[in-house]
Amino acid sequence: MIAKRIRRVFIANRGEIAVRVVRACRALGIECVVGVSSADRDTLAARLADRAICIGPPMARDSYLQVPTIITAAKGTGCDALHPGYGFLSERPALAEACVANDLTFIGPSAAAMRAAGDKIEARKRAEQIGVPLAAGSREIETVDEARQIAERVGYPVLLKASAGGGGRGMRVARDAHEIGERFEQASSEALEAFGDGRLFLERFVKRARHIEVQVLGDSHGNVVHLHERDCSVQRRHQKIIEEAPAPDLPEATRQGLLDAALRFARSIGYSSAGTVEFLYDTAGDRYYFLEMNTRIQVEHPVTEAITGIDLVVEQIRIAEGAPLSFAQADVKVRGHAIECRINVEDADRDFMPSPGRITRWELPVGDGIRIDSHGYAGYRVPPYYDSLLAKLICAGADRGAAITQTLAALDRIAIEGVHTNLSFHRFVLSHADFAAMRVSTRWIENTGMSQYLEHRRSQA
Amino acid sequence: MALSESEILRVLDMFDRSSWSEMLLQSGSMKLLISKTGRVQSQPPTATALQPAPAAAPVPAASAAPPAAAAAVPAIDPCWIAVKAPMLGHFYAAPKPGAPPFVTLGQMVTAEDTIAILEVMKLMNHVKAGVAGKIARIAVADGDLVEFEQALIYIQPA
Repeated sequence: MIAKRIRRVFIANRGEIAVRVVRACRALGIECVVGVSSADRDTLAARLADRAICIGPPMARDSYLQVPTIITAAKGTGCDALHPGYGFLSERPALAEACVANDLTFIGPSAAAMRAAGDKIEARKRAEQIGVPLAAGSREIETVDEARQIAERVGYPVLLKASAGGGGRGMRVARDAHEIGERFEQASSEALEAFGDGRLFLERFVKRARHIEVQVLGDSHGNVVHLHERDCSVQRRHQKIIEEAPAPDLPEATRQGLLDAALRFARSIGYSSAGTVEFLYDTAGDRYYFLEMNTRIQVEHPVTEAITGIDLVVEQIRIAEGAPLSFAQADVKVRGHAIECRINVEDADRDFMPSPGRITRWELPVGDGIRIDSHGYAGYRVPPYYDSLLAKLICAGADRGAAITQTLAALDRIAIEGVHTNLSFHRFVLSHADFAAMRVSTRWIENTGMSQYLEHRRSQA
Repeated sequence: MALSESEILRVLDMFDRSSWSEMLLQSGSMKLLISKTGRVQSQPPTATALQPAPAAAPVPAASAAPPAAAAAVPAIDPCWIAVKAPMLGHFYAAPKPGAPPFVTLGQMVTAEDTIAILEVMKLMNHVKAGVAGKIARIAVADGDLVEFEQALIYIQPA
């Protein structure tokens, strides 16, 4: 059933995900080549891969974002497939198409599926058609007057969002008819600048929301299964910091509804490979709303691997080879609970300021139920050009309480020096009563966590 | 006295252009051991192993350098200037197949002369000499894939 056996994979990414893809290639006995910028020649992925090739200068737009260079490097090093990781070009249909045109197997979904999911206004229309719930709001708004009319109907506050958006860019909350004018212009110009697309839509703002997402996996034979859900509500400025699986404190009927909705959406676009359907969960009303579908492997995929025992990157490669899914929905069983902490090189005590530099001490715990995905090592110089993710700590336990205990114990045994990290912030959140009782929402850090953390640090000093 | 990062980079660059295979530099409490072979013959002092910060990291940088300094090829003269690839691409020594090459060994060039083409998916990028002088070595074979910043040609400055 394998259409085309992959022999050598080109890894078009950096950091921990490049290391993760190397590991999946090793598990399958496949060779791999990693494309690095001149700032990344010494990275762990470059050391671990069979070969590293320098694709350009440090700035991503001249290296990791150059489709022609990446294709030339992949072909020139004899690769027959390409893994895009996450971020960079991973959700650009142009890369998937260039791979196909150059006889490289793209380890990810089709360009058509990426397009269908990538345009949020189109994706919302599709969700509506197939009965996936959306937050009350609009399809597309063109003028401030139109935005005001819709806002009057759905009720303030409202959220303005970029159709091409992500990561909170091109997103604004408006609390009244006066505020909406200003916010509309801000959101639209920010979206135009960041994504080259200033189109906006509007939806009712949910005050206490959790972020719950469903991992799906589809093959090229029309099979799509879900690998249950993750809760990623601990966010700072729309960036996830702590993720867990399964989602705690979720009524069973709601959970089932979410999983079914995710499958319906993924099937409606003929999805193959690993993808994630994101929802906003209104805790007060016990209702969920479709947000978007991400057509790539996600940073937080290891928590799903921890509770299902399925290697998602290995599955991505097998699916790209044309193999059917090796398991059915009924075979996907949840065991225990897993939590991931994103350890970033940023100074938690100074407004999370990025802190690149040379790592002088690097000690990590090992043991059952502890996994660390990272590209760090003692002596590694974290360059200032890329995002601040340095390591992911993933801890599993028989239940949520055990996973929290395990995570706190592991955090205490991590020693990183030479760069600042957010480890102290993770310890604070993991030991907070609100986290233990699952009283956190996506704005918890902003509204409660941050000020309490700073107070806590002052009392320690 | 510890070396700054730019000083270490300069040392690495000089080492790279030398015919040496290994170098140990001691300056006060700092020891810098670099090798082109990836193997280190003289064991690094334990102090180096305990201080991974500035000492250990530059080693892979040296091994990541292009394999131009192969054993059989005569050494690269430290006065030569390397013309480095401004981008990753396929190296072409001539404007089209069968045509005479842009430059040959021993030829004199001006800074503005094209020395090769780098092709990235049908896009032909002309690489200029950047310095006037005599072509001392052509370090890449026609059609090879070259990395960003790989040395393509060495010029003995006029």
